[in-house]
Amino acid sequence: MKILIIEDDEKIVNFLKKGLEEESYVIDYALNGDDGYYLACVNTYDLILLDIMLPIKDGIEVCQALRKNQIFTPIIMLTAKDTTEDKIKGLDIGANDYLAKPFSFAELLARIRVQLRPLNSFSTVLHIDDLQLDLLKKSAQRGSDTIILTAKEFALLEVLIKHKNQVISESLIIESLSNMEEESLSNWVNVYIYRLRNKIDKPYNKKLIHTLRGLGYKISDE
Amino acid sequence: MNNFSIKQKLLLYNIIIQCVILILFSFSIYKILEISTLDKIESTLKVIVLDVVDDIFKHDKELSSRVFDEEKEYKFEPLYIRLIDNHTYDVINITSNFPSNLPLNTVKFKDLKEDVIDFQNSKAFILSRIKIKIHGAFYIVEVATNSDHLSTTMNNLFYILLFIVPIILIFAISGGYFLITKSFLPIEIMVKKLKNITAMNLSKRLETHGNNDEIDRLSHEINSLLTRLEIAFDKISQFSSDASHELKTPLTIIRGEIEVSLRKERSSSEYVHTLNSCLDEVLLIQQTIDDLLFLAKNETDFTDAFDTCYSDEIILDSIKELKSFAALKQISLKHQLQDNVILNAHTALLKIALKNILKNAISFSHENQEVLISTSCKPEHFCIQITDFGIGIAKKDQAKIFEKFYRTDKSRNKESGGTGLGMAIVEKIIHLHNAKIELTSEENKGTCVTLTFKTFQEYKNEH
Repeated sequence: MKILIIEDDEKIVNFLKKGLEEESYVIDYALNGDDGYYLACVNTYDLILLDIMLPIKDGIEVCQALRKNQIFTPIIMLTAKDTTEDKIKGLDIGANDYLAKPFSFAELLARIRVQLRPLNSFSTVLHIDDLQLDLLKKSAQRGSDTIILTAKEFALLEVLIKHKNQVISESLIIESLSNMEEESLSNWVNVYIYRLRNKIDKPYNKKLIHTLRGLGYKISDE
Repeated sequence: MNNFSIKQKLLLYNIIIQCVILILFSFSIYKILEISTLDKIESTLKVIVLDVVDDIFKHDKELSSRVFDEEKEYKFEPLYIRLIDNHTYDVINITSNFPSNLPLNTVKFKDLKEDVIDFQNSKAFILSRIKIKIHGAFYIVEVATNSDHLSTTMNNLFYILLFIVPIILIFAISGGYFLITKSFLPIEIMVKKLKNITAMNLSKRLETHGNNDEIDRLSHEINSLLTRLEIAFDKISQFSSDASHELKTPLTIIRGEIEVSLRKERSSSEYVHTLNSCLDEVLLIQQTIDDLLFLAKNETDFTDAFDTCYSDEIILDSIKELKSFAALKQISLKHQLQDNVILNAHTALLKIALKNILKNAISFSHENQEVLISTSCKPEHFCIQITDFGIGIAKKDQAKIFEKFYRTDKSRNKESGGTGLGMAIVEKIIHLHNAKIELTSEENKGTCVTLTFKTFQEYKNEH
């Protein structure tokens, strides 16, 4: 799951990035509204954390411009402005949620999960066949065995399961799992798919991850 | 009386004043009429007395037998006439209707001078008398009439007044009430409108009609007061929103850093990093609070500590203390201190002000540039100038430079450091010293801050 942080205070970006990456989210960030708007337009993100007081373009403008541009990525506003009027304004111009600074990091995580979970569902556990992925505990289980995954492996599995029974191209996986700072190696996805297979498929009879040559990968219980 | 409205008070005063005026008026009318009526009766009596005397002289043989017919002659009723011997006090002649209850006032007869008419008023009668001399003997003629003439007139007037005064009073009071209500109507309207203006809608204004009457001028004054209030109110809310932002940002960082750290076990170097980061923010919060407290202090808290100090000493000290800060950007601090003076100043505060200005000059300079401090002394003022050749300040931002928490960058980016209160503090310190601070700046060319002191002593630098 890929999140864009648009926030001008580098120290806030630092702890958000650190904390969210440890929760196996992939993070891009921008330190001003203009860069943020550009990134949100050219890349695909699952969520945007948006500050209001930003240089060049403020958060309200960024949010309005994105919605006008038909980009409906969920936006959580993070700001020191905490009056009811500010919250109403933020929500009315297209933000999905509003969190006043200083906020609790655990609450932020919960609100991010709300924005990322599929519609009509409140479960924090993803299922496919006998494989379970607990988004809260960041753990995977197949049958009765607990499988220990690294953050990257977990993120990859999450993407696959969220698109279960669909083919996901390699480039889509790269886009949703790497931020701009990381130099992606050409066989990067291959490596992770291999490691993931070793952990969740190899010991079991029924294989879940399928490779479709030239197209991409698919997780499927059929 | 104090809890009455002005309207009620005015109405009450109106009633009291109207009553007093009417009572005085009625009383004087009553008195004037009484005096003039009495006067008229007396002059009539005088004429009759003289006529009677004239008759007596014409027919001096028949003093006792003559019939006084003046009542019919003058058509003045009732008229009582009698002739008295001044020596024996015998009544020589008398009209038949003379009332028995009018006694002889013998005491008065003695003092009476010859041929002088004297009047005597009692409750029931008005009487005039004269002493005349016939054939060497003195006689007194008395002509009297009832006081009814007077009292009836006076009673009539009294009843007229008793009837008319309340009517006039009612008209006067209702007229007064009308006038008072009419003149207070615009104020009542104004009060109603002002009631609707609260802190939420301070931008509302009273209507003015432009006819420059009292109410219009009052509306104008209230409007300009509202404008001033609105500006002050906006400033305060801007200040509190800025202050809360300035304090909340470091708190967000501290809370975030700690919460993220606590989510799992970490190495001690990571904890050290987190703690250092938190410490930086705590120091920033402390600095912000200290600065705010300084700005909230009264001017009198400092003026006691004023002392003489040398301008060059303060400037050189400030430069020395900022050398290492300037070295971070390879900026050299140059000085040209041609003229130096003795100032009456709070040395520590003045140094803080100079250092804040210098810090800004350094922060907004490009690397490898210089910042120049120069002094100049004219007979009437002494100037300190701090000039940098950095990024400068846009025209629209120059006026706001001294506002609390103002940063030229709208986002209040803290890359440039500081609490955002530096220039507000400088301004306060400079004002404390009765001096002036001016700022000229051009974007991408640099900024020049000039401090102008009016009170100083010159001294010659010996070096």
